[in-house]
Amino acid sequence: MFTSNVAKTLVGGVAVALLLAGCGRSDAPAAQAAAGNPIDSNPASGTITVWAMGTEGELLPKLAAQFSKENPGAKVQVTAVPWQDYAKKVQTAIASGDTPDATMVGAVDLAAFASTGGLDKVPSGLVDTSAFYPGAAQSTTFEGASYGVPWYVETRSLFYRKDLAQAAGVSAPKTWDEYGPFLQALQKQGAKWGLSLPTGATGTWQGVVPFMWQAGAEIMSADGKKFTFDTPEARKGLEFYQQFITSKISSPNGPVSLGEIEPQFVAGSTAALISGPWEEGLLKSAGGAAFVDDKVGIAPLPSGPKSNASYIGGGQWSVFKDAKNRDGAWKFIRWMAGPEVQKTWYSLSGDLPSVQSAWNEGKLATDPALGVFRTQLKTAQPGPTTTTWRQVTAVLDAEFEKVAKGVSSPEAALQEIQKRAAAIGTGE
Amino acid sequence: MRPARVLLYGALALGLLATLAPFAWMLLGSVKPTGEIVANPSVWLPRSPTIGNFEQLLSKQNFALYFVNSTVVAVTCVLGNLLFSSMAGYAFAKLEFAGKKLLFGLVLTMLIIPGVTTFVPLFVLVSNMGLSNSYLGLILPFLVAPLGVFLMRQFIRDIPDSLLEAARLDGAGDARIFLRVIVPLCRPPLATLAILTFLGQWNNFLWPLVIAQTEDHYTLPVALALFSVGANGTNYGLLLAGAVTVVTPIVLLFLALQRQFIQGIANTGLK
Repeated sequence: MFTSNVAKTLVGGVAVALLLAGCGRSDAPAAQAAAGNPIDSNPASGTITVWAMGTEGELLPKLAAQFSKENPGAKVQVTAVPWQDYAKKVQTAIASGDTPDATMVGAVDLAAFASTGGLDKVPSGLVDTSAFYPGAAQSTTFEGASYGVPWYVETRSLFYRKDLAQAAGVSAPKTWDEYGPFLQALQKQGAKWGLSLPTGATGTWQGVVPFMWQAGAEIMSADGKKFTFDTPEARKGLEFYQQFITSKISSPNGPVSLGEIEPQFVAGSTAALISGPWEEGLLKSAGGAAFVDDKVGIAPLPSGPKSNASYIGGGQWSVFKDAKNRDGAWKFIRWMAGPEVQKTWYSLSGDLPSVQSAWNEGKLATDPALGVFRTQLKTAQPGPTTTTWRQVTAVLDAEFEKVAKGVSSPEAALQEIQKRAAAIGTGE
Repeated sequence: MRPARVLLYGALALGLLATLAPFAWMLLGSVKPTGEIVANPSVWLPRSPTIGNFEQLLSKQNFALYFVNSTVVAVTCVLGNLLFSSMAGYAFAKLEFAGKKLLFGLVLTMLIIPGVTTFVPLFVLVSNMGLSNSYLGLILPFLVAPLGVFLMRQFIRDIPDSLLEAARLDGAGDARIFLRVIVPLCRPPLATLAILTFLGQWNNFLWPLVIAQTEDHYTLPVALALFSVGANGTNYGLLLAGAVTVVTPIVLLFLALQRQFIQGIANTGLK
């Protein structure tokens, strides 16, 4: 029933609405936090409100109770927030100034939050940065300053079918040269595919960029001013990724959604995959505990010409500029970054400690699978912490897909990536 | 005629199958262990049926509270929309007042502006009113929606003026006309509006996620995401069991209002 009359009213309405919107602008001055001021060593006091995501959010109250015991004047109020769309929640909170005191942050999102100006810089002397895994500490920095304290870490290693490897008489590969032959030996034992690689789904870059690192590439200049995808090392890494697909070790149609690959791994049609510490749980629910014990092997990623660098992710803690209890929040975070508390948290949640010295005793020191991740963590790297990185990853995913499907050569793909990444810029 | 009929029914049956299959998958999946849900090749019928997913869901703290929260929010929004949309619709359709066209234009404009663009300003507004983390904050922005006003206005416009004039001659005022003449005639669009509003609110995720600052104000979709969607994997069993729990009330509501709903769409849709 859109008569011309209705259309006319509509145009008028839009005009008025735009006018109103224009007039309604008023920038309230942001609350000034005592940014960067050091934190004293007195016990924390007052109520500390924090957001934590998913399982961490469900379990954190147990850890927080211990903090309250040690700091009788302080009470930590934890709100468990779903991972899904949590970034929107944090950004909306920052925009309105209606924030809790502190929030857990996924490592990849730090730059986006810090760039809004809504996060407090980590006070000088709060924690000893060198105590963390270097990759984890690196992922908390944005434009030269640190906005988060690493809490737990995760990295990816090689999961393979131990039973197939034993039957083939091969052991886990240590170098790129042994990589392909090892996987082909598993394929001879009946696996259709040797290794599962991402081939274009969102996040493909996390599986491909490490090949470039392993070949010695740096994808960003040391000063953080420009992307450097057009290097021989990057090409070498991408070519190595591509040869898995051309030699039919990896499927050109890799997994698209979470949880897709595990059944294939259990069924034995895919003999190896690259994944993180959570993979064990997924494999247990897909194949049972006995399957994991008898048939799953874990090994560090094989080394390329330069290293066996993997991708590091994890969770960290940030304090909002609009925090009401800034001191209390930083004290809670400092407390959580202590090696003893990190061990306690590992036993509560299974999250791997970001503090290196927390790994020196107990299961963290002795478990062979954890030992693999521990080795891997020493060289694991985060993606660049720039606000534009998310945009660049979309380009990477698309171009890597073209390489995987044989539409584009590694060289052409990297040229295109470099061109578009340069156009996007590093936000500097 | 007969072969055409067979073809028609065949096509309809195919359509029905395509609609129902995901639903059946959800129902069957909710009673499967995770291993069977993600099994490849996929398994339709559960080999070892279990109610473990539901047990896990109900054992989560506060699950009953989230259900109550969702119900309170959805039902209040439905009542608000029914009342305010029909009142506004009546005014726009049958009353004359200054600025009517302009105001209605604004209502239509709101229909066109995508919700995402007003999301943050709306939150800032509600937060400045001190309503974040309150039921009022969850409900207030959705008590009346432009779609409802438009829907009601279109329907009420088609009610003959002579009917209202007759009522006026009998001495009825606007309030009486509205309650005694308009509302009883509006059952079909009201039922449509009720279902649309209920669905929208029952499934609403982003607003409750952002406005609720403590878990005791979470609604079902937010709680479900919290429990089942992890950073590195999804608990599909729990998710499906949750989906079944969340969708059941909607199905019951639709069955109850089915006749009015279909009539409402037919009467007020694109004519």
